[in-house]
Amino acid sequence: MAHPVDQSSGEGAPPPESADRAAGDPFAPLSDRFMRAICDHVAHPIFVKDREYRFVFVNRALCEMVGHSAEDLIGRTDYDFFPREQADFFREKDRQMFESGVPVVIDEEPITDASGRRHVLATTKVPLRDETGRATHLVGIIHDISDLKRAEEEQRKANLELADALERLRQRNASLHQLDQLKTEFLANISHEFRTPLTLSLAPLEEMLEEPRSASDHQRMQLVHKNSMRLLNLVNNLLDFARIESGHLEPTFVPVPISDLTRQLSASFELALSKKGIRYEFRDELAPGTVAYVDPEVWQKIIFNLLGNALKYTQHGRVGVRVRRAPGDAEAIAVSIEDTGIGMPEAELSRVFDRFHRVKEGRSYTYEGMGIGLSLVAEGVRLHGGTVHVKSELGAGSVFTVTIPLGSAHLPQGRIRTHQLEGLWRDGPRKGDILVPSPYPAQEAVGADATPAATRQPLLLVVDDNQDMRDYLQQILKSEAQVLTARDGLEGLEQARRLLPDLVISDVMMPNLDGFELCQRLKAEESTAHVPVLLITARADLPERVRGLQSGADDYILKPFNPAELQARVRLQLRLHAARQQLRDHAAVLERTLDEKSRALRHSHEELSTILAHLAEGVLVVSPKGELTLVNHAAIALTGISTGTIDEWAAQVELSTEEGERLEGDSLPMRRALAGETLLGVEMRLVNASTRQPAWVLLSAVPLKGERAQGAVCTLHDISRLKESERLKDEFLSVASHELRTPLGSLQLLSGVVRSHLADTALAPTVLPLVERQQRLIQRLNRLINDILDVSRLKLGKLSINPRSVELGAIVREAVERARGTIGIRHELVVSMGAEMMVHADPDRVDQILGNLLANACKYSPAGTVVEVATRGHDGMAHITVRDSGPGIPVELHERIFERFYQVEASMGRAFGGLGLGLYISRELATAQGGQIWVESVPEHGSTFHFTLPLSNG
Amino acid sequence: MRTTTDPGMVLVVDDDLDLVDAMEMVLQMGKCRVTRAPSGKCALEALGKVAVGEAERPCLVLLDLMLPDIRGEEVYRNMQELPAVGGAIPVVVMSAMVDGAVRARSLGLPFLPKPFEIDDLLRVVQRHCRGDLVPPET
Repeated sequence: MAHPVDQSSGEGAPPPESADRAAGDPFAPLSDRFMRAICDHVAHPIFVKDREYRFVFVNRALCEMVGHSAEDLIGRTDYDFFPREQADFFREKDRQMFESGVPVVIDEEPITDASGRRHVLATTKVPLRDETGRATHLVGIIHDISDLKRAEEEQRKANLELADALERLRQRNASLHQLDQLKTEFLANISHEFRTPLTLSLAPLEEMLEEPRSASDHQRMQLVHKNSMRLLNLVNNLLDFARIESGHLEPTFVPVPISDLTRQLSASFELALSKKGIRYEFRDELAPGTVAYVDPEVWQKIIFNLLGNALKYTQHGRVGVRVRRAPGDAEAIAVSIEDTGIGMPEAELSRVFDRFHRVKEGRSYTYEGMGIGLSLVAEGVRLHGGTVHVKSELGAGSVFTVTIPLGSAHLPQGRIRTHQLEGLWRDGPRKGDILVPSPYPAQEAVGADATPAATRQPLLLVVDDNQDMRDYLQQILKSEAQVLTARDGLEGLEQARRLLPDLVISDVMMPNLDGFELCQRLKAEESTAHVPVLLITARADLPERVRGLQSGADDYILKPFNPAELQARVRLQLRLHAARQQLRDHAAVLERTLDEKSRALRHSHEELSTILAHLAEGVLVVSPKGELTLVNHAAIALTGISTGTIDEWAAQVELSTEEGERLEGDSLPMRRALAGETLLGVEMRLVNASTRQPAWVLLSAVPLKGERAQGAVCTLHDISRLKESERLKDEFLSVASHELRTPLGSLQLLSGVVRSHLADTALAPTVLPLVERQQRLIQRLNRLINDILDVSRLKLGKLSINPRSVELGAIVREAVERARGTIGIRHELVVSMGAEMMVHADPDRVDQILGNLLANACKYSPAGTVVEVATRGHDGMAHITVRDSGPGIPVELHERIFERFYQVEASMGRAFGGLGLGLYISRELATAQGGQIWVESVPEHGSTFHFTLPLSNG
Repeated sequence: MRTTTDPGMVLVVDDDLDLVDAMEMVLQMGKCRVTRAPSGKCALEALGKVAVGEAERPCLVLLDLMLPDIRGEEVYRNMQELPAVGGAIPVVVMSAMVDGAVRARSLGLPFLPKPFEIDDLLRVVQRHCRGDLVPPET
């Protein structure tokens, strides 16, 4: 079926819709052909069925799929080509489409084609409608999704396999990890188990070696010692290996003078080398003070391993250490360890740094290793971001060169410390780190460094569950201190509490209570917190150490330890403890001083109380709740009350204002002070609650400020006496004025009577002037009394001024009129009145000012001259002037004449009398009424006194 | 100082005999008669008699504020209770007290401050009493 289906073949084709359209469509024949061509070239099989489910159209792809020609297919149904079951399925779907009239989609239908191949089809069945909307035909478009389904299936299987593989991998990984952990733990445990007995045998052995013995004994013992040390070395290497494996080797880089460090580390081998008859050389070619960032511990491992190897494989000649700038890299240093040992074959050189690799060709296997030393070196150098190389010639020697970069930029930033920790790398090599055929070389140095502990024999508590260990520790530490022992953590805790030792030395792994817990418990208790704890641990890995320090341990030492090192550390701890004790003593002294200070403070508080008690001022302290918390003697004496609330207090003393208003509740000054207000020197009246004596007080109430609300303090200053004396003074003034004026009044009247009797007598010409003079003197006396009274009242603030709205003209006229008959009797008094003006003033006081001004004018100007009084309104003020024809006043005195007791000229004053109070009083009065007073004057041309008064609004 | 009619009688309420003597001399120059009351009690007694018609009715009361027994204010208030006296006889307050003017004003009465001149006294009397009282020539 390789040809396109012919459009004309078979009944029912072309589809009705196309036929209908053809009628009105000029492109109908063309489009029909087009459509067929398109359909034949579409890869999807397409068919059209009529309502009898007969094929009326099929495209080429369909023909290929079913394996029949179009001629075969047209007019037939599915039952003619497909197995019945399948045909039933197709027919059901077709029927569904015709019935519902909507497209039907069959997602997946498996069919078997003509050639027996299975396909998976997805078919869309769409209705074709006539003009009435009835579905007359069915168009089926088929997607062959067989390939897709196959691909999907394959993908699914592949995914499953992958997941399976991943799971297997994960499991393997997990078990590997577990194995790894197990291995690490195993190694760590082995180290623990090995090192404890090793320590126990090595230490007494070393002591025995010190003692004089027969040569053969000594030799045998040295053999024991040598082999023990070898064992220890193996254990240590195993341990380091375990640490690296478990990832616990976390380096901390510090800046160190690299030559010095390397020199010190290398020097540890000098003795061992010289004992073997090997020459040791150290060459420092670096600039002095060159600093490199290294982890001192790792660096020690590198140097010790390389030197250890050199020592191991060299029987004669020399071993040299050389520190210099790396050749060809100014930013790096190189440390070379050169030996004249057995050397290595060329072929081995590339593998010497591999783990567990051992050089096979070697003449001497005297000292076996496990082949991890150099891999540790390589790892250590790698941690420093450096490289290690080896050059070697079999039988001539080897040169190992370690190169590390200078600076710290190449190192992980989180692991850099900028400050060198003192003593971190000065301890010398750890026992067993290297094979040394002699007792520990650093022993003397450490011993010499130590100073005797405090004169008092310190007390040590050794806590260990191992009897041997206890005995051993007791033995090596008895020279340092009195040593007591406990068999486990619990016993140790109990003893430590009871004895308060100067140091507790405890094993970590113990039954009941382990070393960490013991340490924690000791540090948690106040009485024992200061007791230093030194933990002995075989677990050399870092987390354990951290745990040791976190538990509060002051120091720790690893098993196996060198007795000298332990002694040194113990001495250090004892010394530190003694120093701390001293500090504590010092603190106690400080505390005592503080105590004294606080006593002094208490004393000063007592002083304050005494002062308060004897203060004449009444003092009341009020709590924030309004209770009286402190009432001093003066306050009690004044009020008769010593306790209670301020409300009770105020009610009993009948506290009231100057105006007589009773105070209670929130209006109480103390309440206002509690609310944050400050009242100072408010005059108040109160009644003593017990004596019922009234008293006047100046009351101040101030909030007490502190970190928290502290209430208020209220002071009462008794001004009763002041008030009394004020009242007395007032009374005196009244009495004085009354008593002085009364006889003066009589005198004045009598003198008038005498004068009028004399008028018509013969004596008149001689006596009358005397009487008149007498009258003037009486008037002067009268004015003087008035002035003195006014000044006194001014000073007391008692001068009463009662301004009201008054007509100015009347006051002026009356004053002038009065002056005409008295003071102005010899002058011509002229009044020049402006418009009628209402002023806001006290008429008596205005009269007084005018009287003073007129009296002055008349006093200082020659008889017969004019004194003019004028008024005018100006700028909201009444303006009054009094002009005289006197000698005038120099300008520099224009202000001074208004001062109290100032007189223009003393001689003048005496002649005319007066104390110079008039102008002072006038100014006070004018000012008090809202006016002003001043003088304009030119000497020889008279003076003009001005004064103003506010015009009345009404 | 000649007069045809009796200018009347003035009741002087004051305990200062010297002053009252001098006042009497001055008032006599004006042909006024003077009745003395050296205390508040005396003054009220005299006015009581006036009220019942047993004594001559004064044309003016010159009242000092500071009396030996009761205050001038009290005398004034009590005399206001008396029939034919209260509100019927003019009163002028005299005082040498510092607050005399204020006290007089609070009573609503004219004030004659002590010490006073003859003219001051005569002017006051003239204003309230009958007759052509003439101030003495000066």
